[in-house]
Amino acid sequence: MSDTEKTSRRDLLKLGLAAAPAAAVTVVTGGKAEAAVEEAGEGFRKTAHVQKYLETARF
Amino acid sequence: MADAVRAEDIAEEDGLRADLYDMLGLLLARPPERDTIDRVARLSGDETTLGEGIGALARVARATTEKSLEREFNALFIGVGRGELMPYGSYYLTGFLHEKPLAVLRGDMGRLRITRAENVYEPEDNIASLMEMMAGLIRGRFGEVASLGTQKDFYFAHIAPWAKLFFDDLAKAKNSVFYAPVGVVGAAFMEIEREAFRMGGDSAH
Repeated sequence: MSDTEKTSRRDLLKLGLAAAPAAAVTVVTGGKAEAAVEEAGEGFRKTAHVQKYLETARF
Repeated sequence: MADAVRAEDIAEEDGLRADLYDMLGLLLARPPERDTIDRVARLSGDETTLGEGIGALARVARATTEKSLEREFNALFIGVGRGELMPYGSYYLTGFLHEKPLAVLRGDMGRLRITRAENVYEPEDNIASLMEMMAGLIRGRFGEVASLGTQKDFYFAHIAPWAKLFFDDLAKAKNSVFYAPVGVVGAAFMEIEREAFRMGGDSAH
C-alpha cells in the first residue's frame, strides 16, 4: 500500500470514527475510560423525552 | 516474523475499529447486564450517523432495565421456535443455517488460528462472533496482528456480504428498542469499514 493510500484511509477512518472513541472503550473495558466520563445521574427516569424516543424508535 | 506489528503498536484508528467491533460483539452476544447498560448510558455522540446512533443508544440505555433488555433480546434472536431475526451469515446468504458460507468461514478460521470457545454451540457465522473475530484480528488476539490485507479478505468474505443488511434489519425490527440504535451504529460502521478497505489494503493472496 502506498503512503498516499495509507494516509487517505487513516483520514477517512479518523473522520468516520470520530464519534466512536470514548464510546467503545468505555463499554468494553469499563475501567480506564470511566473515570473521565461524567455521571449523567439520570437513572431510570422515563421523561417525556425518553418516552417519545421509545415510541418513535419502534418504527 | 521480523516485521510483525505488536498488538500495542497498532495505529490509533485501528484501535478505534477494534473497540467498536468489540462493543458490537458484546452487545449482540447476549443481553447486556446492568454494568454494561450503565456504561452504554454514559456515552455521547456527535452529529454523524454513527454519532447519532451512539447518542440514541445511550438515551435508550438510560431508560431501560436488565429485564426488558433480556425480553427484547429473546424476542429478536431467540423467540419461540425462532426470533424475529436470524443473525447468521449462512442464513442471510442462502436462507438456511449451516450452509456453505459457514463451511468457508470455518476453513478461514482454521487458517487464521481462530478457535471457538468451549461450550459454545452456536454456529460461528453469527454476527457477534464475527464482530469479535474482526476485533481479534486487528488486535492480534489470535497470534500476530493481522495485516490489513488479511483483515480486508476476512471482511469481504464473511461480513460485507450481509452484515449491513442485518444491521439495517435490526434498526427497523419490530421488537427493537435498545437494539434499534445498535443497528444504526452497526450499519454506519460497516459502511465506514467498506469505504476504508477500498482505499487501501492489498489482498493477502
